[in-house]
Amino acid sequence: MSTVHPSIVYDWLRHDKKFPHVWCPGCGLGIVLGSLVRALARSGLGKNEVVLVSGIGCSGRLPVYVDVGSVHTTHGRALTFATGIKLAKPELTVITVMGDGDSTAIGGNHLIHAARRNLDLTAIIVNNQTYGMTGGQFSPTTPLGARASTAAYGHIEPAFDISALCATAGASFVARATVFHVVQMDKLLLQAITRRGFNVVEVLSPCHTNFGRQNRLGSQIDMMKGFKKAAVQASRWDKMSESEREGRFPVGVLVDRDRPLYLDSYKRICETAARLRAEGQI
Amino acid sequence: MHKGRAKLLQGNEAIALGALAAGCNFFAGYPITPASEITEFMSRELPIRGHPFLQMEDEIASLGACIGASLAGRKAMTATSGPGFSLMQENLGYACITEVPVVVVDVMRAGPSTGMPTHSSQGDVQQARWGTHGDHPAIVLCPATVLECFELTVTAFNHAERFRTPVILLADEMTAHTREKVALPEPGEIEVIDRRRPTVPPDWYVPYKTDGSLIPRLADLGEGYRYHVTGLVHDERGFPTERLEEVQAFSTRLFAKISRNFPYLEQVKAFRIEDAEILVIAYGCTARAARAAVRIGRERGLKIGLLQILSIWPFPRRSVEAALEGKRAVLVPELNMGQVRREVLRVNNGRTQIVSLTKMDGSMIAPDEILARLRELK
Amino acid sequence: MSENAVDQPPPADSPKKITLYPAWCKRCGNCVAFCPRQVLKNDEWGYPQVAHPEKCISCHMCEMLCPDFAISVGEDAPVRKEGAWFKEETPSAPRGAREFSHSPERLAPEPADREEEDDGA
Repeated sequence: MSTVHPSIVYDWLRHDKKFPHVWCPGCGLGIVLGSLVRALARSGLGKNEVVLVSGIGCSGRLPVYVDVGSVHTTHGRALTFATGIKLAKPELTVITVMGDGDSTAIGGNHLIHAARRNLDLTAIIVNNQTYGMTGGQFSPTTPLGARASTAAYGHIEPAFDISALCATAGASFVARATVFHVVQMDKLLLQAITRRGFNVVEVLSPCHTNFGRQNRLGSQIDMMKGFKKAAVQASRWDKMSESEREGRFPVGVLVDRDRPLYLDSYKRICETAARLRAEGQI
Repeated sequence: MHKGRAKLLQGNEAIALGALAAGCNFFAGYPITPASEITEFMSRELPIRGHPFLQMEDEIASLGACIGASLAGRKAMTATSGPGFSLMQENLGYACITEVPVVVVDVMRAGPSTGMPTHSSQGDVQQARWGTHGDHPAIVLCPATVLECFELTVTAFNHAERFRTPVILLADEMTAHTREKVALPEPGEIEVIDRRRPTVPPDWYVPYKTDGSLIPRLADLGEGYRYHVTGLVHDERGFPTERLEEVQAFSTRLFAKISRNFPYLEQVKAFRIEDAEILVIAYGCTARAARAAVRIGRERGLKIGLLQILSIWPFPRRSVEAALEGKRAVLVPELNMGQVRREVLRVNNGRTQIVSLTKMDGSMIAPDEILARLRELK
Repeated sequence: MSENAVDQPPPADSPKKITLYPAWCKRCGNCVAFCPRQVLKNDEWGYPQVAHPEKCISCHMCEMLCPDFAISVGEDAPVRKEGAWFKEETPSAPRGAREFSHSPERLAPEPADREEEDDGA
């Protein structure tokens, strides 16, 4: 990884957008923003080659702060817009930023199909285990038994494992990070952005304002310390027994494989079609 | 007429050909009866030209992909029917507020819900106008013949590009599945309008600032113009705003860019209305039956005429108002419970008698039925 | 090797100037809590202060874990201003392009329910 001074973020943040940003004090989204911008700076891409697409929710407000083409779309649909942009202009690097509810509840269909299609997109899924912007209702990743604004007596639905979901659906690259492991997050985001195929980075982020408060998890500092305690590097995770894994989760690269790329296949289709037309067969 | 070039075409095929003639170079759709032929046609034709075709996971995704592609500089279209059109309302509103050109074809079938997929209806007229939430303007066109399917699709693209807004082509199952012999215009005979792109350097570009035309210039993503697009109400720089004066100015302009161009958008066809005592106002497949009814009625000595509506939204108030003048009665036949009659009543404002002929059994209104209803008025 | 952020070794050339921007700081406490050498501490209002600059190993943890870009470590810290921030060499746009102003059409609100009334003459 090429070294860049962390201050490089100021080259990539928007000059004409007001700071400080909209998120609560201590929100992990600010850390994700910094990490994304450092990864972009390290990628060697120019600002005009990158498009950021987001859905709705706290995470939806992220692209506006980055000095690239940015599209803040409808709830859960970021990947559909990104698909259109990427196919319309394949030379662009298209990155989506979504929340857990955004990507796996209302946008769950789009997520699995984007993973299946394997178009060259990067999906950053910021998982804070709740709907933060609307006041802490339970999301598909809220743990069983947790409290939420709409689960006053405890949550009775099992949670999605976003990384496992994306891996099963066919993503080329799946990785998990937490905002505490910020140096690792920098590396994973860089890997995802510069790699072809559908690449997912799930980032665990604290919502102390809603999820933390309702579940008495303390401040975002306590929650980040909790991430530190529960996270296990992926290489170690494979060697752990089922009982050791209890209450913990792997971070790092979880899936890294080559699958047929949509753009390459589509290019072949176009060549075939053009040849058939030229030969007068269609 | 170009009789030498005439060929047998289906309405849906004519829509797809119209799109290609207008410069459509991106299509995303989802299979649905009775609009699937458009998607199938595009899946064959676009790869030949090296342009993207996508079959998405649903209609929401289809329109999302189209809006994304349009922002990246493509001319994008999607095609669906009622159930899919309902799903698209969300992103239709997004295209409205972000002012992204896109064409949506809704081939109406009998509803509500799954209804009767292979039967015709005109039940989506008011949905096309008011479907998405929040008050917004709408441009909706309504073809009645295979040739009009072609022509109005070209017009839909031109309106979308010129006014930076989604345009809906509201066809119906009957028109879309009709096959008839038509001579399509040659490429040189078709006016194709492209969106205005910024001419200033990127540093000077203010994405939602207008220059007197009410319609801001649209930069393609990835061309050096790094701006923000959001479904939140935004200021001229594209950033979310809640400042009262900015919000009011924004919504006012959104409506004004359509209403100030109303004369340009209004499109009707008059058939023997000059000396008519009774006027039929119709659109879509019903207009076709009405035209036959007028012809037959005239042979029998009935003084009737037809005003066919092509641009159904914004409602062609001026043409309808002028045509109503001096008529003894006006009949509005349609395949719903009176969605356009409501508009005619509004324009009529008590001037003359407005009569309705409604039908919801999935079949077409035949010329005989129109004539029978007219005889009741005698 | 642990990927834990706080275990990162210091870079060889470690500039130790820490710049704080109270105007952007939301007092979340990340920088103080996660500094591996206790360089920072909170003042009575909860804002961070540089208490032990000599202990800084330039790991940039405070900078990276600050969600609000309110800390810079190093000599070449960018200039921030109240609200937005600017660099000295920001390209100058013509007047009116960057500053807020309305488009030329200052429109009166449309009359209700008369969308096609106005002929724009």
